[in-house]
Amino acid sequence: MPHTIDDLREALDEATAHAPHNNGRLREVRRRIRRDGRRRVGGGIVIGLAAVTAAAAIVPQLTATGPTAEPRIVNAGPNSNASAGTGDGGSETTEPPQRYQGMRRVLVQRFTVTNTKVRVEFTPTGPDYAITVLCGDGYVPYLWIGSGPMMSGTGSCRKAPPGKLQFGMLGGTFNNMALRPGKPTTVHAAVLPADVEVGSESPPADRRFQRGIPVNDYLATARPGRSSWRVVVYSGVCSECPSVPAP
Amino acid sequence: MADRSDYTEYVINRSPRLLRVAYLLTRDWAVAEDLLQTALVKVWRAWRRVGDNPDPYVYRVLVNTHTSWRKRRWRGEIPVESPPDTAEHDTAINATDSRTFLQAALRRLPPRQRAVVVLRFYEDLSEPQVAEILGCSVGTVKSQTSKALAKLRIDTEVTETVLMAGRA
Repeated sequence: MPHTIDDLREALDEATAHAPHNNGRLREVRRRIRRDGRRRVGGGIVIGLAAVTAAAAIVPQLTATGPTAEPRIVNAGPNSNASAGTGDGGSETTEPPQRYQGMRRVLVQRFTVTNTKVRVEFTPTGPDYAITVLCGDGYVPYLWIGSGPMMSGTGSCRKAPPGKLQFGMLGGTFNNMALRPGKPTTVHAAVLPADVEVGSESPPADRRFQRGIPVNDYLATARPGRSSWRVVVYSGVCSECPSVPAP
Repeated sequence: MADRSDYTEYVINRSPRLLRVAYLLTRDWAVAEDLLQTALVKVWRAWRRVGDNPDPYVYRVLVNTHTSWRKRRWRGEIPVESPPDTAEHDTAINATDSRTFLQAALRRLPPRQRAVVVLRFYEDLSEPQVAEILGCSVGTVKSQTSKALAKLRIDTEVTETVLMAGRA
């Protein structure tokens, strides 16, 4: 059956005759506009942060002067008396290994300022952990885990064998550091030039026993320098630790 | 140059009519409301550039947004507890049946042809205006209109479907 244009117009009018009335449309549109604006601002921030992060990752590599400027792996663990281990750091690379003696890497944080104490936080995933500092030639890392005493690396980054985690001091000895799995732990770290003779954390009661400048005094007065370095934290169960007694 | 108060006034005055246009594109009041509000948000972002007559721009955003939704939204079967009511056809085809046929045929039109029909015969826009809104030539509008009207008149598949539903 053929239809006319008038039939079509009537059909269109009839189809829309019972349109619902929405009193709050303007309010809903305004809310959508605000939400849209927030999303756009958030997207811009994310893109900006991504660009800054990418630049921060690229610039130190571009500004490095030759192979000696590459960070090397040095362990600055809490027990400098621990026996030296073979380490499984693998080949020399700017990317820290994902696992270390059976523990998974839980944190990698990059810094570019030396002579300054920085703060990182991680949540242990097991009873054992290892904290490693990767720094450039001629620097020595220092660590403060939680409220514990200062710990220093047993040698500068320059002295560390390239690509090796020099000190495998992991295992049960760390349990006395009172780190609990699941409890966030704060670590302070600083990287100082190796030629600075740093003594104890604070001046000893008897100044006659003081050797070198107390690290806190040095950090309070030294001018910040620039060098790329990273803090790497491994946590979990140290299944490959040489010092773990066999069950 | 348009400002915020113009926009508010425009939404208040024109949105009821625009909702009907959106419904003719989507055939669902809830989706039409969503489409309209989405389009109005997009229009707000360009409001300063729209000029004194926002309607063509708003129509264009409505049609384009609806087209993009059709491309990405799922349109499969929706299960219901009971089958929908069928039309009563105890008597011969009358005027109401004629409009029922037309509406069923409109629903079956491709989105571009449906947009042409709505803008030409519901909003009574000229062919050049529709061409500007859809971003095509006047000749394309004419050909799309011709095809759509042909389908609306001789859509035998729709006719048979409704007739068979009436006999059941």
